[in-house]
Amino acid sequence: MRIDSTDRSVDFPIKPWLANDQSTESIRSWVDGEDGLAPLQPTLVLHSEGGILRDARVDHALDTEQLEHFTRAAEDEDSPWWVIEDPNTRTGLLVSREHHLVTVETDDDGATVHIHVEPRRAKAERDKQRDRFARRWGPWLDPDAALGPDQIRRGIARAEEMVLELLAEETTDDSEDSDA
Amino acid sequence: MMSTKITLDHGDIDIDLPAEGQRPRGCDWNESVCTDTPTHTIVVPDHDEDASGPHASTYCARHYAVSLAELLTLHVQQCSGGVREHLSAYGEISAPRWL
Ligand SMILES: [Zn+2]
Ligand SMILES: [Zn+2]
Repeated sequence: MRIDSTDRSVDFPIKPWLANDQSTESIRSWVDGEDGLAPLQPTLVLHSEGGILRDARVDHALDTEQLEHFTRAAEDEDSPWWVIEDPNTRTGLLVSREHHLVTVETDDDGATVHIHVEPRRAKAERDKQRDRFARRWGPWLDPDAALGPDQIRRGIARAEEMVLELLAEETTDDSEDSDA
Repeated sequence: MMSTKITLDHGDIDIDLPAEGQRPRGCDWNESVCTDTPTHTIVVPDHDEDASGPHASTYCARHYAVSLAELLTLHVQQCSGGVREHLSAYGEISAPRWL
């Protein structure tokens, strides 16, 4: 998979992947989500500036060692698992053909590349959220819709309230420590 | 191109924000053309230690509200990372609130 932009172009090799039995087990548990945990969603975000990689964030990916030692290339194009390799970070995003959907987004004229592997179910949920957001904030997104100063003030207040609400949720979520 | 910057000091983070009243960049909203004066900022963290530091976008009031709401509802709530991993500061350019 090649992503071209005005800034740079990057090739992400996609290969069929064959796990040993042990890694298949543990990988299946992150894909399906076990013990009430949500399925992990391998994600890669790359930011470049002037063609140079400035910032990379990788979540739930196979690291270089796992790619090199615990995996081997499958001969089979019908392999249930595929890996999207990132040459920048030398990590790999593991994709289940059956259960996953891969979303690739570029932004800032291609300076930001976002690759996201998620369960199909999660994607459906995200689409629903997106629709809800579009309905709620529709006029704000429409350049032809005029908004009054009061409306804008209320919108800012609502968005800023959400920051505090989410922060409060997180503090109650993690009981171990707080660095307030 | 000339731009005037002030530097806000936040612990060990130095970040350049455009001075109020200056318009070095305009509103950063990129889903439609917006020529309104930026009044608010959203600062997102860098995820890498040797990267250049947090990144500040500046928006007009309207696009600030919708950008912040979008970040929170369409990203943070569905991401494995928490709020602080996505947002370092928000609010008026002259008085951003740091998390
Ligand atoms: Zn704007
Ligand atoms: Zn995220």
